Amino acid sequence: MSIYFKKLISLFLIVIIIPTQIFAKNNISHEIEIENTLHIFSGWEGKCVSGKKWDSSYMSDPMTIMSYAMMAYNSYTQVNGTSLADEYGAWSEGVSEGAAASGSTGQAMTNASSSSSSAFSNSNGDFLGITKMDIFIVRTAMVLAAPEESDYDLADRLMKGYLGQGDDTAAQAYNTCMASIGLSFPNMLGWSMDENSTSENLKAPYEHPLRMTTEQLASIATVFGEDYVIENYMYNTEDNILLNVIALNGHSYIKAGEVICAGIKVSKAMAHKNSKSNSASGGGKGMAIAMMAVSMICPVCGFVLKVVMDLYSNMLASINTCDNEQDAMEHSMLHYKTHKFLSHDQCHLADTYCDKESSWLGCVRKGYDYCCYDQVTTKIFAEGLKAQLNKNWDSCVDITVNDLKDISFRSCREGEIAHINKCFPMGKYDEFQKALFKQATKGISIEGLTEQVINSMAIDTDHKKKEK
Amino acid sequence: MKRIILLLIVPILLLSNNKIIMEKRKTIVTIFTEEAGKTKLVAGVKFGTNKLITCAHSFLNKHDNFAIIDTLVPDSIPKSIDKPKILAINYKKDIAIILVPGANWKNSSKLSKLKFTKDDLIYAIGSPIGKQGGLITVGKFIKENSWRLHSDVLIDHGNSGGAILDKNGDLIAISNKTIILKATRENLGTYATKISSIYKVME
Repeated sequence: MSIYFKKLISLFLIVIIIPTQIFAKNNISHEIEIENTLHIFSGWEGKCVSGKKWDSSYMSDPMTIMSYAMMAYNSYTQVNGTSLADEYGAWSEGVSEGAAASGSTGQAMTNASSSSSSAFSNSNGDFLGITKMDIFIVRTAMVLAAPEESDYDLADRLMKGYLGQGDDTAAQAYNTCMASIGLSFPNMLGWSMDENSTSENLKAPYEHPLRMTTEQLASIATVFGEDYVIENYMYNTEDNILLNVIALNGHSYIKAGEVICAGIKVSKAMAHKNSKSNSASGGGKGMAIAMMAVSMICPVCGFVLKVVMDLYSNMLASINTCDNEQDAMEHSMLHYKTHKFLSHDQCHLADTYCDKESSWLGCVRKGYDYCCYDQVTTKIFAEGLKAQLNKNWDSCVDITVNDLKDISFRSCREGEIAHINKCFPMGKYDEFQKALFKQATKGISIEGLTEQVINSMAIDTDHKKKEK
Repeated sequence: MKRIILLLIVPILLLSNNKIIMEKRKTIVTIFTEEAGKTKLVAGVKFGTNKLITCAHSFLNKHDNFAIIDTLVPDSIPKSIDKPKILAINYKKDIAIILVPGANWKNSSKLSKLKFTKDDLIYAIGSPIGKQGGLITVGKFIKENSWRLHSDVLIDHGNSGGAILDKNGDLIAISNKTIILKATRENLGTYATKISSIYKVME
């Protein structure tokens, strides 16, 4: 009996206790990451450009074509009869009047919803307006929700997939999700042209509540502002799991749909990308208002002005990703990274070439290739080595370990040539020693040490400021 | 209050130690290795007359191709016929010992087996090329086990294999790894292999 009992205990240990312990240990190890601290000596190829933008790709962008088609059609109908803008304006006024008659927009929508759809009524009562306090509470939890580089990449893919470009699984899932809440691309296109030729959801968004988390709703506030959310959404909490949110107009319904289908971070990245492209093509809010004013007086002039403005902002405007941080940021991640390294003197100019050429104007944009390094000293060291090894700058990663075995640190004397006399170029040697001394002195200075002591004692930033 | 007093006193103490610690930069060399076509570098610490201590994770195996450069004392690595070779390596403790034939270090490190308390300050010195001229960082001892030391001294890429020194400038450990909390990317400090392990590795 006792043998059986011992076996039972052993089995219990093997089956229950030990795996639990292993699982617990694994859980701990998953939370902590160990970083081996190797340093990459090899450089990487940086790029920047300076001159005119000369980017004609916007002409083949479906959104540009669509916007031109709409403007042209609008101009035509304005000249030959009632314009779409007028029709849309009349519809908007109708909604506003209904709202005014009921006391407030929110009340109007609540009434409309309760009479047309039983989904709105619940035991908790009507939909409530959103207050600043509601958003404030949730926004405090949104600090970590800033989009990262991967979110911007995914946003790019989803936006292209939505317009029918590319064949991406994530984009297909996004399109399906958007279509399920009446936001397919044809519906969006129809909504922007004529409110009758679109989905029921966009025709009357207040009759189609969306299920959202409080974080999702707050994320819209972080992009468009708290007032936007307060003015354009209402909610109720039917089941304490998700909010039932009604958007009071088409635009706010679309924004909520994007957050639901793309997620908080990616939808933020999408909004950021949209605002960037709008500011790039339209020249900011001021220009957009001016253009609208011209369009109202003379639709054809407005259309022509839009074409000219786009031509200017995409082709003739200046760009300098080497010196201008904003230009570099808007151009690409590589150019932004190069700009950052250039500003800290960590790049060596490897090649200059003509990046964009016009048959009439000649070279309109110059391109610069750089070899960039993680540290200033690494760059100076690489420059000295390349001279001694007689290597050109075609590659940034061509210094091998075998090359390093035979190099000399003797500073070249007058008349000596680095690669023939096997010495470190005189100027580079001095520069290298100075950089080493400068950095080391910086590292051991009294201010540096105080800062390091503060860091090592993990005093928070505010405390640090007070101490200073 | 204790922190404020420490903030006022520590820099004064450190200033007096500046010269000793600055001089210790000369005990650090840079070791270049190759992996997947890229040249990587770590630090190494001179000890004895012709040996270097470094970390093991920069070498995939004992016969890896590597080069040693001393930018602060350029003539310390002799151009001898016998190339440097790895004498001993221990991947678990992340430590390796390299023999440099013909070398006769004048600035080698003195090994220390002192016991630490939580208030003891320690210094880390990294690779002279990667870490901007042997940048010295300061931190505090957190805890230790039989072979590893945990401190909050800040290290970065290029510090691996570099020296962890006590307040007298004696070598107490070799920098290995940074510990990062995955969820928040918070830096939880640094692991370093204690020098007592070196004797065991050599055996």
